[in-house]
Amino acid sequence: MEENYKEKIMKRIALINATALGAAAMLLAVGCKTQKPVGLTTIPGQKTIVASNPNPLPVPTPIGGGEIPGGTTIPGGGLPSVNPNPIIQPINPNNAGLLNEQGQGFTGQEMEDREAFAALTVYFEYDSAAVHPDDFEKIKLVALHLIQNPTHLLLVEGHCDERGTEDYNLSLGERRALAVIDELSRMNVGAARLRTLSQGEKVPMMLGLDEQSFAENRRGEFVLLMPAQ
Amino acid sequence: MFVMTASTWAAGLQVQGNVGKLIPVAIKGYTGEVAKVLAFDLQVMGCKMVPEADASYVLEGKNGAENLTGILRDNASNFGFNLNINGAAPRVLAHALSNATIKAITGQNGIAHTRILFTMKTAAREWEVFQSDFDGHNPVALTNDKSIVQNPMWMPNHGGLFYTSWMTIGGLQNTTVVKHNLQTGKREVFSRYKGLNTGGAMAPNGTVALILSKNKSTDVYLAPPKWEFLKDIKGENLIRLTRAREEKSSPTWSPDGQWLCFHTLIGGKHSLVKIPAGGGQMVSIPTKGAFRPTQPSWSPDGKWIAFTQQRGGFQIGVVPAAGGNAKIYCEGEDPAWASNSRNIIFTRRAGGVNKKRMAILDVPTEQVKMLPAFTGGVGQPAWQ
Repeated sequence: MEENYKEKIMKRIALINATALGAAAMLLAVGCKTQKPVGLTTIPGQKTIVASNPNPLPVPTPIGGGEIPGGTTIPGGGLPSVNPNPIIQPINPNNAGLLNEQGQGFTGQEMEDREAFAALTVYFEYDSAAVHPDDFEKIKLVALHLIQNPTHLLLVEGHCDERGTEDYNLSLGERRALAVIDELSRMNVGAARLRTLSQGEKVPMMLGLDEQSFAENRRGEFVLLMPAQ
Repeated sequence: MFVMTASTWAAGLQVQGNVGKLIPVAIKGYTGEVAKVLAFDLQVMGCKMVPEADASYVLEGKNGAENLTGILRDNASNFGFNLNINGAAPRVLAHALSNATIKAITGQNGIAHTRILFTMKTAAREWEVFQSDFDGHNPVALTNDKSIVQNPMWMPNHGGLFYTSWMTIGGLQNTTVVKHNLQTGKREVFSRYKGLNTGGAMAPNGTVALILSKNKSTDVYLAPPKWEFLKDIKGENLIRLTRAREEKSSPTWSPDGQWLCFHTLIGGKHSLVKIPAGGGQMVSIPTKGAFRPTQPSWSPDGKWIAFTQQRGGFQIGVVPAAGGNAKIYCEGEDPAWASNSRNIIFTRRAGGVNKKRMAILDVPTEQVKMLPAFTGGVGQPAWQ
């Protein structure tokens, strides 16, 4: 990893944290009076803050740990001594299709962390599955984490606004998730560590029928999956 | 089951063909629920309720607790039938009388005895599959998975169904095509590969069309008759029909099982296409005059394809199965044909996210009847 690239990422994380602080300060000042969000995940640093989350601020450490400039290792970070390709047997035979030919992939035994990459949710244009150029940096951060944490896996969820038929939105949500996976693969994250889940239009972040709500609903979310202890 | 006894049947009644005009009918002597059911059923199947003086046909009779009589005559006093139906609940008897009336008047089989499948929102982020009478009455939940579920589809013999569930199995949430036997209640995972698993359209010979993204794009696959997921975890016996990044959705078979129609994008444009069941080139089905067509549904007589147009809101359209000029009928989406190839059930948005109601279109007369509202929004009806 080149030093200037690392610095760039650290700056980006600092920016995300600063934006989140700003948003929290705004929340204190004006309260939360817009439509109730219905998403399980938060988007710290963006317009929506889930009211039930007592602490909307992200933990001020680099995402997923790993080495920071200066060489200090963050606890919970990369575990380079672990075999990056463990052979895991599926618990349920119906999940066998989620493993690759070497038996690598998703077993259902992973621990799910929906907060780790909540600030890195990517957004799409109407009726488009093209990754927005502004979002490449976010995907790079996710890729960096996965490269530094070879035992971690990733689920990418694709979501749509409701301006499409249910059937089409299911396929569109999948294509969005696949487009993000494509980028991660290009950044050298192995295919066996990635999977997609389209939620179609069924899990909107915002319930409004206005362009702002639609824009927030057209998204790709990252769910980090870590090996069970 | 009910018992129907006819002392007279079609003795000289003037029979109407499949004309595009509402048939004026008067009903006399019925009360309460039976009167409402008769009126609703007859309107769905192309009639309008009028006073006796204006009626081309008069249906007269009485309803008891488990008994119903009906005499049908035309305005020239020719008798259609004299029926006595008994041995079932009033709604069942009334549906049977509606079907008999339509058969006598038009010569066509009625659809008032049929059932539908649909999804209904039952809690936040929870949908279940329901079955009900075609008019939305007597709904029964078929699933209790407390998850997302979409695309309920009948098997050709109506003895079971397929649907797409987001159920968690073994700690993993993944889209899963579920096969559900209605006789035994047995459910099995029909398809659960990495990525998207949806579709579940079964051809008359038992081949099942699926939309899967196991090879990094959403593509159409065919599972041969008697294929089993657990015996083909790698999908080696699946037949891949398409290879393209564009989305594919809503597979629907021609009734002879020779063609599979679905929605995709051609050159970035939403299009209906078909592909031979044995594989081959994708053939475009032109929908002239329609905007952004999705959700094709092939009529049981093979002649028509209904679809959803998206222009501002959503509208129901119909095009000849070979393609051509599309006709747009009314606001709505999720179309599915009845067995008579003239009625289409669909959903209509009623304000608010995921809030939809069902309605039925009679294509020749363009009459629309709304079904009763449910507590939760409904979606994607499929007609027996």
